[in-house]
Amino acid sequence: MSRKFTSRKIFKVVIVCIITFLVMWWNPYNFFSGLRSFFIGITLPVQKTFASTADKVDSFGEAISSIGKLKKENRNLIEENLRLKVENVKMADIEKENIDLRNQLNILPRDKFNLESAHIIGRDSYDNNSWVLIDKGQRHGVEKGMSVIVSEGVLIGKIQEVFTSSAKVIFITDKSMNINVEAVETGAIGVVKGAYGLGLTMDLVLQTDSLRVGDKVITSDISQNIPRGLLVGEIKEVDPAKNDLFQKAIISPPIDFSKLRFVFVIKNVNN
Amino acid sequence: MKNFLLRISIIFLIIFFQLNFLNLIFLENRLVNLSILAVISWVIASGFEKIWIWIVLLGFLNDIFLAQKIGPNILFFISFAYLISFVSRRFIIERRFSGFLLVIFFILMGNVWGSFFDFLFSGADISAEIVSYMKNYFINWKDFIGTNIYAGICFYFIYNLINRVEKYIARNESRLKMSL
Repeated sequence: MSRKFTSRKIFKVVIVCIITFLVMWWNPYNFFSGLRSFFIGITLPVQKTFASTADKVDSFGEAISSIGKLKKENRNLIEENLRLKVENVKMADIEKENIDLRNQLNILPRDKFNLESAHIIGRDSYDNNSWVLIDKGQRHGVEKGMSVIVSEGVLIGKIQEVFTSSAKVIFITDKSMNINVEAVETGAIGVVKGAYGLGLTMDLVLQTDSLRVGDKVITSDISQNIPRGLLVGEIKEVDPAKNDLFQKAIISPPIDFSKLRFVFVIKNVNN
Repeated sequence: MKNFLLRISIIFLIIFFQLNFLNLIFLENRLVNLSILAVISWVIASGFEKIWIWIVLLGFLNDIFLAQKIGPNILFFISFAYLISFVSRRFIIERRFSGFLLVIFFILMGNVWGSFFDFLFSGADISAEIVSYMKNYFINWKDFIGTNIYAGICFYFIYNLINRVEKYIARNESRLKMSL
């Protein structure tokens, strides 16, 4: 004799699925945001402990694997240091000249960012180039939509969600991201989109514009909340797509997103 | 109460170990999802009927800590658990070799299905992007194989942990029934 439908496993699965769909349809984000902030807030010390242990384990692994290379690297660094010292002297002279010229022409100094440094404490489980969790949040002045950079000028993403002491950063390589950009040399403008962890594509470039392999791509003025001039990447391959309205290009980001440990949030731009 | 604390501790341990440790050191896109392994272990060790509510909780807390929409992980884990239970009843999991093959199949299926669910609820234009998504997923075949080998190693530890805890809980429950 078959069992009653309500006592079957499939009945439980169906009920759970219906309730979950209703919750998702009714209020996907806000209903649970209080609960989420509470859970993330009280467990932040534990999460930070796990993240710092991961950093130590990772550094230890890297140190072990690089023992053989250290001697050669040291010799190269000494040579590079000498070269940089010479270059530094030249640069100091150029900088002085630059300030004088800017004063004469009445040009404002380049943008200076008000940065908040943050430590990566969590990462997506399905795609390493999708998002990370950082240890700075509302309490530190971080807000939704702020740009996140590394090395004082390489754009890596935007703040997607903010909690009291942490925030979620969505990488530019995520499929949901669209950033207005321009090529430095040719001035071609387009939109950069994520390509499922395989890098970035520059799309919507007019056929009349020119794209060159090796040209640097930076954020343009049109990007909302993103300062102009942040480096996005370098053009690796151009797809002219002659029969389409727009050209495309594959952009290679200058950094490896999976190896990031620290990032900077641009809180505002001081002119 | 003790049983509740044991199971909830496992859930939190798995989530934090995943999000704040493993994902930070398992680089180059070879990411192992411990929650998937925990679902497989739980269903094999205790059966769907006994554990389904904990699987729902695991999905819910995953969605909370992964800071995404509440729901996708609940849907994924409960449907995946049902499938494991459905398939394992029709094959003899106690037999060493067939059990081993079945676990490998579950791990592979869990990783593929999990990534697909992630794509499904990511807000992407599904009809336009499904082909390029699937193509890109399998282009990285080295990462795919690497991930599943890592997952197999991690499964050994997770299964041992969960199996021991579940046996301990079962002993406690039977003692309690006998004393009543």
